[in-house]
Parts: sequence; C-alpha cells; structure tokens
Amino acid sequence: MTISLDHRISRPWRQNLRRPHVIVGVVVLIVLFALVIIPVAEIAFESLRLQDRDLRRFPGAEAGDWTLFYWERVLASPLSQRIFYQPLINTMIVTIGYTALSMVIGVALAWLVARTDIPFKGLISACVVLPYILPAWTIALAWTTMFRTDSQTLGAAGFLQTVTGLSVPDWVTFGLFPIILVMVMNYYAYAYLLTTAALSSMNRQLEEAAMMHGASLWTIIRRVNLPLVLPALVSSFVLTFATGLGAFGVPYLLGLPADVQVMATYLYTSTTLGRYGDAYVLTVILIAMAGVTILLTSRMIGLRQSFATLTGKAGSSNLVPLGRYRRAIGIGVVTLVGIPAFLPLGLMALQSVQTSIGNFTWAGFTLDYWVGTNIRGFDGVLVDPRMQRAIWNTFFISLVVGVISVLAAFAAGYAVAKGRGTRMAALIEQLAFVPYLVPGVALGAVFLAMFSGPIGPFPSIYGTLTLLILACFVSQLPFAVRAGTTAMMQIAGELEEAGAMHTRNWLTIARRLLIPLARRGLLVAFVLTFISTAKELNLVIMLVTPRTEMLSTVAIGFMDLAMEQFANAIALVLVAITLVGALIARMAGGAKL
Amino acid sequence: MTRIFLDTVEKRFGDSVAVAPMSLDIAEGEFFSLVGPSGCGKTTTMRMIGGLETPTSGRISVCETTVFDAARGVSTPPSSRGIGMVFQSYALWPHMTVHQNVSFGLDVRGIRGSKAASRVKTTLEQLQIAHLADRYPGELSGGQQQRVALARELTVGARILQLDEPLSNLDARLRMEMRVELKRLHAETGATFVYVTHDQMEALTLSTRMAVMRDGIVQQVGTPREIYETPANLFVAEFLSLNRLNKLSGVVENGGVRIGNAQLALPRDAVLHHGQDVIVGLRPDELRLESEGDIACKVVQSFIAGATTLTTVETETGYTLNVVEPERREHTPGRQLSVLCSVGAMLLFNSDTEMRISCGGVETPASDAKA
Repeated sequence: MTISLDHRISRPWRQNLRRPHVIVGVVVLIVLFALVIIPVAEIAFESLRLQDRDLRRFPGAEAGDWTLFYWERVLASPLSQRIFYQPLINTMIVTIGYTALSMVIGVALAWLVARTDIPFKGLISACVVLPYILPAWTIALAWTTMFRTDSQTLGAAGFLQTVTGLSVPDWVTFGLFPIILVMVMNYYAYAYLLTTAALSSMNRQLEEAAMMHGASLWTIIRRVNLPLVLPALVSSFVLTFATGLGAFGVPYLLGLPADVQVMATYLYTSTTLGRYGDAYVLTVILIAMAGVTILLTSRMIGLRQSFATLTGKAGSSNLVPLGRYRRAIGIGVVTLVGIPAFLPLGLMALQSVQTSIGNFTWAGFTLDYWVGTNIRGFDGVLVDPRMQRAIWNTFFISLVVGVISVLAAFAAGYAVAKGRGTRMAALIEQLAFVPYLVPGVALGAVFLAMFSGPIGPFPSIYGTLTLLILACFVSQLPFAVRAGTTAMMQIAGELEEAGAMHTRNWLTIARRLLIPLARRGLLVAFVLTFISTAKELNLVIMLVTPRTEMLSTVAIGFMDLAMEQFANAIALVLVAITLVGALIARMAGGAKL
Repeated sequence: MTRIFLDTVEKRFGDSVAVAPMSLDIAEGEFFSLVGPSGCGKTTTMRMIGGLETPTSGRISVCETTVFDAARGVSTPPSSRGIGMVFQSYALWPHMTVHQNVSFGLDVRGIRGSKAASRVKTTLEQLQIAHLADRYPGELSGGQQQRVALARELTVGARILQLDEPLSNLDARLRMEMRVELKRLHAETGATFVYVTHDQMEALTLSTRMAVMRDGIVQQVGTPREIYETPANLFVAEFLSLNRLNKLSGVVENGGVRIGNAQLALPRDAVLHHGQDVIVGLRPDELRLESEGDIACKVVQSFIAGATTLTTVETETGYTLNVVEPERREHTPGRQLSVLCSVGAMLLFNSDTEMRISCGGVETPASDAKA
C-alpha cells in the first residue's frame, strides 16, 4: 500500500474535524467573520467611495468610484472645524473629564464599602448600581426637567425654578458640564463594581503585614492596595473610556441645545443630513480611536496580568474603623449616591403626569400622557397603538437578541474554553472583542452601510426588525462571549470528559451535562444582553424606521417634538422593563446551583 | 483478556515532548501504577489510554482490540474503549444526585428502569454509600465523593479502571482508609487498575507493577520490590526513597569505595575499575549509628518520631547524612559516633550517567531502563 503518505497529511485534519469544539469553533468563526469583520471592512471601503448623492459634484463620475473626497472634507476643508475638529475636542473633553471623575468617585466608594466599617453598605451598592441599569439618556432627561429655566429653548421652567424661584446659569443646564456630570452618574458604577470585587477578594494579610511594619493608612493604600487593584482599575478605565467615546444619548439631549456636538452626535447628524460619506469617515476615525486606546491599555494589563490572579481568602471583619464620624460619613455617602439614583425617577414620574412642561402643581395633574386619547395626535403611552408597537418591538428584539446571545455564549465559550491555548480560541476571543471597539453610533452606521441594499441572494433587510436584531446581537457579542467563556471554563474539563467516558454523542453530553452545568452563567448572559438591548439607543437610533421604532428612539423623538411628558412616561416604562430584568439577573446570580 | 498494550506511543505538544515514545504491556487484573513527579507525563499517558488525548504517534490496544493507531488513522472514542476513569477532581456532576451520577453511564447506554436501578443499588452497596443515593455531590465529604466517582465507573461494568491521583485531595487518615478500600475493590472486582500518583508510598504499597516516569521518559518498569531494591538510576532511587536518600561522591580504590577519608567495602561481584568516580547512595533507614562503624561522624540533631528515631549527622568531610533507626534511641547532639552501613544500604551510581552500577543484592536485568 502506498497511501501512507496520504494518511499522514490528512489524518490530523480529519481527527481535528471530528472534535466537537473544533466544529463549534469553526461555525463561530464563520459567524464572527460575516457579522464583524466584513461590516467593519465594508465601512472602511465605503468611506473611500463616491456616494450617490454627491454625483453632481463630479460630472462624469459614477457612484462607487474611489475617492478621497470625504476624507478631505472631514479632515482638511473649510468645513472640517465644524464637522470634525470641534466635535473631536468636545469628545475628548467629555471622555477624559468624565472618565477621571468616574474613576475617582467609583474607587473611593469601593474602598469605603469594601474596606471600612461604613454603615448602609447594601444600600450604597444598590444606589450605585441603579443609575447604571437605567438607560443613560433618562438621567439626562431628568437633568433638563430639574434645571431648565424659562429663558431657555422651550421657555418652560424646570423643577428647581418652579419650586425655589432660582434660575441656574445656562451652562449648568446644557453643554459640556452637565454632559460630564450626567455621564459620571451613569457610569461610575464600572469603576465601583470592578474595584470592589478586587478589593474584597484581596488578601487582607498583605495589608496587615504593612500595618505591622508601621505603615500609615495612606501608605498602605498607595503602596499595597493600589498596585494590587491596578488590573481592575485598568479594566474599568477601558470600559468607562470606550463608553465615553461612543456616548450619544446624553450629549444629544444636553449638548445640542447649547450647540455642543461630540463625534457621536455629529455622526448621527451627518446621516440625517444624508452625508453618508462623512459619516463613514467619522465612523472609521471613531473606531480607530477606541481601538488604539483599548489596545494600548490592554497591553498594559497584559504586562501586569500576574497581579490579577492574586486571590486570597476573603477578608475577615477586620475593617478600617471610621471612628465617631462613621454614621455621619455613611449618611453623607448614601445621600450622595442616592440622589442620582432616585431623584431622576421621581422627576420623570412627576413630569409625566403634568399637563404642561414645567408646571409642577396639583392643578396641572393629568394621566393623559399615560392613558388619555388624542394629545396633539397621540394617545397615552399605555394605549397608543404605535407606542404598543414600540413596546412590543423593544421586548421582541431584546428577547431574540438575548436568546441568540445565549447560543453564541455557549458555542463560543465552549470553543474557547475547550481549545484554550490554541490559535482558534485566541482568534474567536479577539474577533468577538472587535464590536467593543466600535462605538454604538458607528456600529449603527456600519450596519446601515452594509444592509441598506440587497446582499447577493438575500433581499435588503433595511427597515426590518431583523436588521435591528443583528446589529444589537453584534454589539452584545463581547459581553456574551465573555460571559460564556467564564461559564464554560469551569465545565469544559474533567466534568465533560467524565461524560465522554460513557458516550460518544456530543449532543447528549451538551444536553445532559454542559447546558445544565452552565445554566446559571447562561441565564446571566441572557438577562444582561436582554437589558442592554432594551435600553439601547446609540446603535438603534441609526437603524430604526417608523415600523421598527423602539422605546428609546420613540422617547428621543418626543423630546425633538418638545413633548417631554411622553418621553418621561416612556422612559419609566423602559426603566420598569430593565429593572425587572435586573431583578431576575440578581435572583439567578444568587440562586444555588 | 483486558490487556492494555502501548506500542511506541508518543505525545508532543508543538515542539515539546510530553511523553517520549513508550511501550507498556499491562496484563489482565494488574494494579499498575504510573509514578513520577508532576509534569512527568504520567497523566498524559493515562489520558491517551483512555482516549481523552490523541497520541502523536504509536499504537494502543485494549483487550486485544486496536483502539488507536496513528499509522492507520484509527482512533476509537473514549466511550467505546471499555475503560472507566476516576478523575483527580472526581468530576462529579454537581447538578445530579449520587444516583443520577452513577446511573448516567447506564442511561446513555440505553439501560434504564428497574434493571438500571438494581445495578446502581448493587454498586452503591459495594462501596457502602447506598444511604447517600439522593444527596447532591456538594453535600458529600471528600471520601464519599471519591466513592461516588468509583461507583460511577464500576456500575457500567468497566473491566479497566483508570484513577488519576484519586487520593490526593483527601486528608492523611482518609487516604489510608481509601488505600485499603481500593485494594479491596481491586481484589473483589478483578478489574485491571491503572493508577496515576506522585506519591511513592501509594505506588509501592498498592501496585502489582509500576512504571517510574521522568520528563516524559519511562525510567523503569517492574514490581514495587524490584524497583525499590534495584533502582535503574539515581533518579528512581531518590524518588522511591521514603526518607531522603543520602548522596555522597566516592572513588573506587583498593576493592572498596573511598568517601573522603572513610573506606566502604564493596561486594565481590561489582564491575568497577580502580580510580572510577561513583555516586554513593545510602538509604537512611538501613543505616545505624554505633560507636564503631564505617564513617566517623558527629551528631547534629536527633528526634524521636513515634517508633523511630531521625538523626542528622555530619561526617568529617562535611557531608550531612540522615539516619532513620527503627527504635527509640535519642543521640546527644555533638556526640562522636560512626555510621554503620548494612549490605542493603548502599547503592552505587555511575557519576556521569547516574545509572546504577549493579553490585550484589537482588539482581534483575534493568532492561526497561531508559527507553
């Protein structure tokens, strides 16, 4: 027989292809390639090609011709200042300012809760997490309701002016200052949550050893705690920073009235003006900015990764005593974190039952915006068929995205956990991370460019829920894959092999062992992706059509129509949906296996 | 015949060799141990037999059936090899009760209902855990989990049982108990056991035969007694020594070995030549301290540990030696004594190759050494 050579070549391949995690991995890679790599490459190409509506500027040219026109217009034309440089400067001010503030506040709170005997710890944690669960723009909405004055855009007084008669200066209501503050309120939870986990899992004996050497509290924090929580700090920095670059809702509500544009809002403006070429260029720049920042920082994490694996026995009750100011500090902190948590909800509820904006009196009380009929052409939020469609769309899209995210979490998590150390596992993780580098508005632009026409044999999906589902799914991929990998890491080892000793049918092993074992992690993945899809605005604002409106886009639409009561009522419905989701996640997370 | 046969089986991970080409022949009903320090390739070898790891080359047959052959592209899945596996972590499925864990293998093989129930019951009783059938693994102690893991493999009637460091997660007392239990199960079931451990005491007491591995290479295969008495090389001798082996360098002179200024007699049949450098291994538990002996020394410290006495002494040439005497006789530190070597105490090794130089004692051909 002379086929031995043949065997030697084909055997490893055939054997690999029989392995379930390789099969699963290949499928995952194909999906990632189609949904992540192709769209991102597509938008880079599109930014270099002539768009239909600019044909008249170039007699004789055809749509799709290669051109640097858009890059020139964005970067080096009389319009550049307005299109690019001013938004860029604003984006940097907002991102850096809010990231710095969020980190300081988040870390300080984390230390107080994890390391001192401050009272009301549970309450403090709840208050930090609550605004983070809410859609970011709802707090912006509440901010305007609070601080608006009758000399501004709508000519209606805010809550503060109505009650106290004080009118704050314009820069407090609209512009960079409120954008930064409101975003801090929303996202300081990143730094808080990540560092709390790191601080409380840290080995207390390290601190005690420093204490025995006579180190002061400050020295311990600076020399012992800080270096050890550095990985958590870097991770929260990356999360906070990336979120800032792509933030849309808050600058849209608080920036535009003062003519403050950030890149994300200008990107949106460009598409509404039909300047798709500019939008694509801005998208590429935004992706590059996020990518470079995150890659630089993750290189730093990589260098210091060894710290991250440090775990010790959970600390005993040996906490830093705050002494006789303990209660006072506790009450102060609760107030500080409680205001951004609860006041916006109260204000929104209040505004949604007032006949006219800025009129906070009993006489103005009305339930029309909830259950009434024909208020300037709309019915109440709970009865209007368009509103019900938005509720249904939001629910349906979130549900489907949650379900496919769980599938992706399971499949990718399995392929990564089982193939640990292989090139395939690394590639899956890297590809799944890419959407994280793409700010929401930019991702929306990518999908807009990609799917506005038919692709090959597939009809155009623009204007369908499918497009929204696909886009939301892609934006959730990094989180789904991360959650799935964590869940599968513990399972795809001896527990699975013990099953393989009894059956060769991988589907049996998946159904009877892997899925039941991972169910808690998968449920968490579902709820997380469900919630963030339900409150999604940045991404979907680019893609919705009248038939596919979601709650968040409808609410923003009402803001544009100066019908804030509707916006507030819808925000509350959305808050209710996300809170229910979060509660389920909490119950799932705390459930016993 | 539940014979396991490995023919030049090799495992590489990229460029690194986990297991160098090795051949093994494990007979029916054996209690065969793979021993060695961590990273020596013993677990990889077991996983290759079980089908959880694919060898890079070679052939494996189980019960006269080829289950793996790199040249012919044969690779039978783990479940078809008729091998049961007890994992180091036990790998009990936490979402299933003891009964569900144990009946899983029967269930996926299509054995259900009363037949399955009675087989599970028999196995659980055999392992004395019948009363735990409805508990979840999280509610069991380490020893009980261990028994469930054994039951899960035994209940499907596996004739070959592979155990990966099964006792390493148990405390000392429980380990002793489970050792006895494993020996009993082995006798009772008549199954072939393949046992992976880094604990030389476990291997020496449990095995009918064992293979000592280092850096992916089998150093020696034989019965525990053979290997203990005639280790193939310095590594095997040191690894199996229950108390740390004393190592000294010596020179062959005048029909004896000179260590510093002490002269030890050599057995007549030792094949050595004058002036040859050797490594002398002295087994601590076969040395005695007397006023008249072979190597003059001074007592550094001496402890009584239960029934034995552990003494550290320093020779005139500066070697520190451990002496373990099987009775209680504390020696005062600083006292001048002499180490008395019995015939079985001394092992000689080639100082270049570290291979043992045979000289008297129970002789076996060290043919398996250095594969």
